[in-house]
Amino acid sequence: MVAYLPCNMTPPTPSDRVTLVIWFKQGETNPIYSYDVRHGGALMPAPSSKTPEGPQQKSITVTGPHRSDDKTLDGRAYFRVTSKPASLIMQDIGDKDAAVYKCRVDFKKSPTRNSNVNLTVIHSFDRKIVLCDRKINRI
Amino acid sequence: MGVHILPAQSAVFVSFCLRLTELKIEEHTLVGNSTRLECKYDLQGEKLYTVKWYKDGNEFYRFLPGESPEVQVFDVTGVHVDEKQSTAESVVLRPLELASSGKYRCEVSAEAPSFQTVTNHSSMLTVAPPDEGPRISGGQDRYKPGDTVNVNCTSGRSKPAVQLAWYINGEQVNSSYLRGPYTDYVGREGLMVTTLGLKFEAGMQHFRLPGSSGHQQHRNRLDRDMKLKCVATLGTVYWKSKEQSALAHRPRPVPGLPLPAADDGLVGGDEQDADSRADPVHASSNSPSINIAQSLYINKIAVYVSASFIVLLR
Repeated sequence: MVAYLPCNMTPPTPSDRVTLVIWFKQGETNPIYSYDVRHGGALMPAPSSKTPEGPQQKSITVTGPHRSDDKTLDGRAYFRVTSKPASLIMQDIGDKDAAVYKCRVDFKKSPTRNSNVNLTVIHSFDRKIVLCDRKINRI
Repeated sequence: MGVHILPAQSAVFVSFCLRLTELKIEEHTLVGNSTRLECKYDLQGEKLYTVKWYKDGNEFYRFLPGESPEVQVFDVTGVHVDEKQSTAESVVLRPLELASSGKYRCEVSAEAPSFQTVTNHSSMLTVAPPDEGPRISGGQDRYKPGDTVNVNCTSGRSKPAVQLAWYINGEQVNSSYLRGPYTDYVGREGLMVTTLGLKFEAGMQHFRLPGSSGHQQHRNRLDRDMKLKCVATLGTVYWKSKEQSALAHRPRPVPGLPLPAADDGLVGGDEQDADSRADPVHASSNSPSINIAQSLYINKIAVYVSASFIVLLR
């Protein structure tokens, strides 16, 4: 299952541009995903990998301007900025992903745009019922 | 759908915990005044990316350290930022207007890679205090037991409406004696005049012997009086009262005692205005680390008026 979480990145005025997009899972301090094009969208040098020991370790995957929180997304998401609206594409959706997500778009000149997306996870069929009916093969 | 997950470089960063330590927003403010919204934070080793302020979801102030410009202000109805007085941890709004009322949110974000973001909000109500103190009408100088006391207290024009309360001899009146409150809208700005009636049958229990205060020396010791006081309040920023005294009719002159210097025509109708500081109220919010302070008061001088040269001091 794939989810597409829309986020309007179009600047309010043509002369403006996006500098940063941050995705949050509601109620969390750490973003699950960020798209950082403050410096014109050029590839950011990858930070050196350090693995200090301790309970406060946090894992972030960095690819150019894209940063993704491994704990929540584990490489399952990608923010597609070429589509309109832009979408956070999340794969292998499970019950744990059901939540309200907030997309914050920072512009160079215009006020910040915050929008919420409610992701509801619906099961298309109940596998237990299918298994109980012996005439129907397990789908 | 061709979703392509790019191969990625993985890195582990030490995660610090950015904290919002204090949000100070006055709960009530006055039209024409200014206020400082404070938002304090502990970066815990992180570097600051930005501080943003929103009113009812609309960004009106942004602080970006090291950027040019460092401060950006956006048009939001009712919000006038005093940029010179505003910093990374506070914003000054001046002048305030009725439309300044709303929910104010501070949002602090750390730099890459964490972009940790903490936020908190609080509401502010900007009020137009009454243009004059409460007035009492319909009172008599004297009542005898069985008479109906029927008086009205009317506030000056304000927004929102003031709260009115009646006190008899310092005790708040129960609702069965009250009529109203009634609110009338006046003028274009939707200012409100509030009226609260007080109606009851006077009984001896409503009259008290004057106290031993030296200020009572001009009055006959046996004159009992009834003090009717109306108090107008607006949140914690406005408090003003009006007091009127009425005397009990004496059934007959008491032999052996000199008549009071001031008799029927002069006694009674003592009035007292009072203007007082409201005590600060500290409301607690969801987070124990957030203090919401309310600290704005108006006129603090008590004015005493006496129609009969008798000043009632409490």
